[in-house]
Amino acid sequence: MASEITNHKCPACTGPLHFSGASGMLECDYCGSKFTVEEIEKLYAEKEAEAAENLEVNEAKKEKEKAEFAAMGIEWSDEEIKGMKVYNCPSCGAELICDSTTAATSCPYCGNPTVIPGQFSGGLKPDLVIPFKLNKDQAVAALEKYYKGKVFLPKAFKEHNHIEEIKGVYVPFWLCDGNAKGNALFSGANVRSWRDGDYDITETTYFDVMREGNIDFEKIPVDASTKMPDEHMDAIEPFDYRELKPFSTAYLPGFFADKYDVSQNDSFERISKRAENSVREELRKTVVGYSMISTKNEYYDFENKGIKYALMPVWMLSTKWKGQNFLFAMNGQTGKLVGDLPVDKGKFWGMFAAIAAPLSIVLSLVWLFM
Amino acid sequence: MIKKTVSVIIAFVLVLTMSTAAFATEEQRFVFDEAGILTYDELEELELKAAQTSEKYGFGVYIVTFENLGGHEAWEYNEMVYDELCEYYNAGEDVVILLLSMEERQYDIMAHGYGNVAFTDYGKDVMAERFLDDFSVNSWYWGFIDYLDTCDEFLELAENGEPFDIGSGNSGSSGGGKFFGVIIAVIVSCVIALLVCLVLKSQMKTAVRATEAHEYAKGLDLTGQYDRFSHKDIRRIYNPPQENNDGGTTVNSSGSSHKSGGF
Repeated sequence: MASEITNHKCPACTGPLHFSGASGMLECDYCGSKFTVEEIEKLYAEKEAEAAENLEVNEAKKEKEKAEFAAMGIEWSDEEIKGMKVYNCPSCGAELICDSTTAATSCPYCGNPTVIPGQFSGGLKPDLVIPFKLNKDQAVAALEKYYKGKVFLPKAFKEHNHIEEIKGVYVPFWLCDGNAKGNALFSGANVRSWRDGDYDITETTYFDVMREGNIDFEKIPVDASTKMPDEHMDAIEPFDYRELKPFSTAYLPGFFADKYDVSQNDSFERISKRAENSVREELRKTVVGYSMISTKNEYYDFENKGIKYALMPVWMLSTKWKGQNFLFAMNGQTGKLVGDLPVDKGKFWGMFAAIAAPLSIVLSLVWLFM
Repeated sequence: MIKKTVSVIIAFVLVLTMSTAAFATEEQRFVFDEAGILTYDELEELELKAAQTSEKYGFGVYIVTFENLGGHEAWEYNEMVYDELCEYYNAGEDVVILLLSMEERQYDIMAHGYGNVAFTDYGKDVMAERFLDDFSVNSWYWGFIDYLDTCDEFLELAENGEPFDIGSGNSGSSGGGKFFGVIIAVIVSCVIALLVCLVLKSQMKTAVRATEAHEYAKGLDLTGQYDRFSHKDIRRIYNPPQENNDGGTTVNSSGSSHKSGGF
């Protein structure tokens, strides 16, 4: 069966190539040769087209084989094969069992980086990519730095917690351009107080305040992978869009990549909500000169002016402690790292007592001798 | 007539106790139990304590009890007692007198001269609080002990230049105000500590969903706006001036200050 996978190999020694964020080039693990993305693209354009074609042909063959096995009484249940795909490594011939969305991975047997061009062909081809700039060592260092200064982090977590898995993933994102418009009616009030004889007089003057406006947005990102937690992907923003490149599979060797499994339509609600909230805040900021402001009614609408499909570099780090998994994500371009850490309740209440007790004494003394 | 009655009473006490010539010195008396509510030993102990305090500060600290006020107000009666003390017992300008009338169950604290400095209106209120819990259960001796202790305390504070009064720094040392202040201080401290801890705890959770898209906005284009007057609401709340609560002592035309009430 012709392979649906390509291994990017060094033209000089046939060793595996990987993309290096530091140099922005593909480097050979064995001879150290370096090649530009454009050079590798030229070399592999034909092979990738062939591999993409093979993916379709092989899909048909697999369906036929499946039917034959079923006739023989050997059949995988739908549940067993749901979301799985099987490929053959072109280097060692081993079977690679992957998620149906996997687009780049590495062979667990020979370790060669592999790309499945068929996942990114035709209408599935990403428009843009931000290449990795930071490497695995920098991700590990960032995590260690992240632990520092966290006063409630259990000591044992720092000492006994080990990184279970770390992988660089090109995460599929939708980047949406659009315009959000809004119209909001506020009630503004100013209060004036004075004394008249034995009476306190309070005068409140109310105003109807209307604001209408719109904001153009450029490339609002939203991750398009169900495997990636939305909280982590949102929190590692922003990416520096100045480094966006036209997509090429040459950026993928050495990293994992998934194709999207959340459609544009399904992502649209998250995008429009964020844009509308921004318009709401900006309109509200223009209402000044009142001591009290409340919203009476409002209307917002987001118009989609085009969505681009992009792959963004993310380092995913997972650790395990006391049987619980802790997931961290680092922006592979900017180095921003996010993730949730456990809280030592003893330290929390210890800190509370350490602040409250002396402060109580000081404030009490101030009060008593004031 | 009133003065005559009081003069007779005081003269009677005088006859029972000592000669006129002895008043000016060490045999001067400070406790006059006309109502007969104290035992002999209690009377002697209170007399000794009042004399010690009076000598210590050069200030007359007196206790007077009567069976009734003869239809007069307690403060009026107390002023007459003061006049008689001055006339027959060589009492000086500077005095504090606690008068109790058993039939009406009325009391009056009267301060005069330097007493108006040491025993402010607020000080007299606090003093009354201290002895009234005893008098309300007919514990006369312990009520008078509280009175004499409070006199000693207030006179010492006045001698140190800071009479017991509102906002004097010592006014709540035994009152509910200080205690309340300490409770507030503890609560405020706990709230501050909790806020600091919660801010530090928030650093432990950094993976949060984005709710807006400011980073990707090109700027607001404000296409329409107005600010129109809607209506005006005027509220008048009756709030008459509060009584002066700034401390000090309210002195009447005869130069005395009083605190009267029931027990």
